[in-house]
Amino acid sequence: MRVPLPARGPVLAVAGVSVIVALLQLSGLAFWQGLAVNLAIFVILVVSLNLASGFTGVFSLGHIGFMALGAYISAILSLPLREKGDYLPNLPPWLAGIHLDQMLGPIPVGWLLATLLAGLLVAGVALLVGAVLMRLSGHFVAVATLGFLVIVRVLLFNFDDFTRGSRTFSNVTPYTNLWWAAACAVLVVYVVWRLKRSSYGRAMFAQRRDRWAAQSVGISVLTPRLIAFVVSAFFTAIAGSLFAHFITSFSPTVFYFDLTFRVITMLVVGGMGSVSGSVIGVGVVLAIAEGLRRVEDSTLLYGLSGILLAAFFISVIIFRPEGIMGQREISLNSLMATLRPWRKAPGDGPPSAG
Amino acid sequence: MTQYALQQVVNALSAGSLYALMAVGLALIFSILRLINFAHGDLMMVAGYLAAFSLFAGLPLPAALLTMIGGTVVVGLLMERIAYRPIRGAPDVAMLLTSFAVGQILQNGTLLASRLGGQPVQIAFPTPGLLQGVVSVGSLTLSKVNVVSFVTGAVLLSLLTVFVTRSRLGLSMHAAAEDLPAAQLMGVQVNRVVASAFGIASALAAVAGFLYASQAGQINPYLGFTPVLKAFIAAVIGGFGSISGAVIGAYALALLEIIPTALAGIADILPPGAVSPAFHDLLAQLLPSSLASFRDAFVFLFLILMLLFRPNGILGGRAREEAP
Amino acid sequence: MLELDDLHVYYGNIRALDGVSLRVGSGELVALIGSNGAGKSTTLKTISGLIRPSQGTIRYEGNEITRHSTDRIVGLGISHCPEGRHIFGRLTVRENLILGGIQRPAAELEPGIDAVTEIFPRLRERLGQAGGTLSGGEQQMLAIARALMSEPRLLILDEPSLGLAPLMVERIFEVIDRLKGKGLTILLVEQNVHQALDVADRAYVMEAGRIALEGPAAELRHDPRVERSYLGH
Repeated sequence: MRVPLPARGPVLAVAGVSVIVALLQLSGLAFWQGLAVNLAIFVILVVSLNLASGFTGVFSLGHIGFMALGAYISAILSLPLREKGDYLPNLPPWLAGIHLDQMLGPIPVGWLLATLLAGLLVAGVALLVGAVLMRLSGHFVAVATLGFLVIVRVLLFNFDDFTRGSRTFSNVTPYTNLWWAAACAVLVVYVVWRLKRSSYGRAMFAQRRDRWAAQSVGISVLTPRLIAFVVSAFFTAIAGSLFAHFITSFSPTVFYFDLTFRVITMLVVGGMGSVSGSVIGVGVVLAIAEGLRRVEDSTLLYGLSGILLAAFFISVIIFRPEGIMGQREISLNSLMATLRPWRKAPGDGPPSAG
Repeated sequence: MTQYALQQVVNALSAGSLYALMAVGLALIFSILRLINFAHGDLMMVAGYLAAFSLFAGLPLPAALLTMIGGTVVVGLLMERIAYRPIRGAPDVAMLLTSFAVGQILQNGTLLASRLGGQPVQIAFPTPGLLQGVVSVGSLTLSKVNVVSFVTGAVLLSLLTVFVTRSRLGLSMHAAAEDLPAAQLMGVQVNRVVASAFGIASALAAVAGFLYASQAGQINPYLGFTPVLKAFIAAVIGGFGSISGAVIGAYALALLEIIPTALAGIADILPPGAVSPAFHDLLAQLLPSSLASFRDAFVFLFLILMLLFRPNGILGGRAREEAP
Repeated sequence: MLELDDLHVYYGNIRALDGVSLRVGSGELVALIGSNGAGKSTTLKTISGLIRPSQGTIRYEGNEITRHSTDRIVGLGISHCPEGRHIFGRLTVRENLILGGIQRPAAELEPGIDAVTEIFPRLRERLGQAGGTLSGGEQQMLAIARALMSEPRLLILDEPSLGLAPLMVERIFEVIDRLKGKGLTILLVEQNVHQALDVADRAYVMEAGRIALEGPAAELRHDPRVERSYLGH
């Protein structure tokens, strides 16, 4: 039973984002554009993790492993033929021949296909991993998924015919720009938001609050969790592809613990279980991190940002464990209502009650 | 061939002792608080740095060791008081995540302090002469660090067992681990018991850190990550319930780790003619020598299997009903 | 000896205690009865410091102990034998008893163990056995003995007859009577209203977080409301 939504809200949100993106692109301010791409990628990561963990209460610490797989797979697929020959000389023939770098006018269809493929493959991996791990709960599943992260890293280091091992994987074509990143982010936010409001979403939240009670009324515990896990892995892999084709060079060490902790901090600060909270959380933490990075650069006190962010995280867990938004969402309707009085021209009479 | 095998076993016993010192501390804290303290590895790291800087400052070895243990215990107690006590009773995952944050603080703090002290990120560890070099036993060559690790581990863990089974504080810890509210009703001072557990765990981690640094020959702020994962796996293998369990798990893990390395070399070690050439080639292809680098992945796979099928450890035991 | 005044306790948003006031005089045996969920155990846990009330006071021998920690309350002479016994199954009987006396000086432990095993001779035979291997009745005896190890002046018993066979229940109440005879002040929560009112001096009836009735046990036994709801007449 789907809850009908007024079309107004989402359309306005998309319009708003488009305006902002257009302005940024036109401004030519590379720094802010880069920051915005970063923000978009993190939004996808955090919202996806929220879907997998925040909704269900089951924590996945290994999600960045999916991002890594997405990054490498899409990068390997999208490398132009010549680069492949020079750069990855030992690829098996069937793979060496694939080069998803075709363009259709301005649209990089090859890259989009590569991203999609990466997402699907990673989703397949997630299905296997999830089916196995979803039986665990609490901190045991968290540590088991951490194991997944380590395993992915070891595999990436060792299958160096495919990944170049510990050497930097570069020469990636920078397909990612602000439009694509923002579009993906908006898409992911929308999908997860709708999912939350659907019957699947309610099932997930039910089994989060009380696993035994949910089971006793017939809500299957495993399926909502597994679906959430797989879908979120898909999106996380997409984020990986966006990331890979943005920074254009990376190695397995990027997709490890620090990034995991950064994403978790954003998730917790925003509120596990709230999609709008995730967006806010990303903004807040990126802002703080960026500010602290400036301080570090000017004072040369490297490590300070790590300490302060971690301390911030601990404070949130102690004093406001539900994060900024808890499980609530920003209701676009109430936002609109508060804006309405402003849109009335002066002299039109008393503003309507908000 | 047997020489090689024996050598591996000896290495495993030494590694096992280190894992045991850490796993016991982890298990102690987990049993009482249900907290998996991922910052435990960072306590090891801090100990290594404290020892290094004490030795650089010219302190004689015994004084440096005391400083190291004392300092690490202080850090452990502060960790408990500031980060964990306020969230006692919070959901498991919240406590786990907090322990990651604490680890981040320790790592970055050490990085910062190192830099302020004009040191590079990675520092060569001043392994004391006592621990350098090798000793010959029969046809085996044992490194001194290995021997000392094993002996120290055995001594400390025996002392700990005596303490826990005979003393009242130890008894309180058992009780708190089994049923915290009931222990409270007896008039057990929970804060004191928890703090003691952290103190003991930190001291053990400090010793482990010193031995680990001596073996590795260098220290860096991130060295604690892998050991704590190993310690956790050891504790899970042992059932996370008791000291003896953690010890058994630790040595089991160390022995388990030999397998990939041993397998990797099998294709080379098998005497010619033992198997058909085709099979030999197959083995060589499937098990490249670099399998050893898969060791960590292998160990984690084992962890996942354990969590799935034997969450109460190798010894099994009563299924502990998970809290919903 | 013990005075509860207008206690309010919340579990999240749920009100568990809604203004509970009661008194236990020195040497008395006071029973607290009522149906499941009435708040009896919550009251006991609040007295022992496991739960903090949002409102109200608890006074013991004239001093306010409302926000004292549990270990301090035990030190003052209040001992709580919890519902469901909660003995330490993996520790021996002797170790369970030692834990009961954890706040006493080491020298007093052996004499203390002797004293309680006199009241519960069965336990003396089983000192070296693991608590988990005892029968239900024996575990209850151990729980009470353990609570007595701290030499309390006020003993709080939460549902001692729970899950026990009738013969065992008789035995337990014999012991409770004996303890009362020795002058121990006892606050007893019980589902077995019959036995409770037999042995008690006064009683309170709790319903939905409040005291609904109070009075001398003898009177309450013949109160028509009590007879109907709890005694099954």
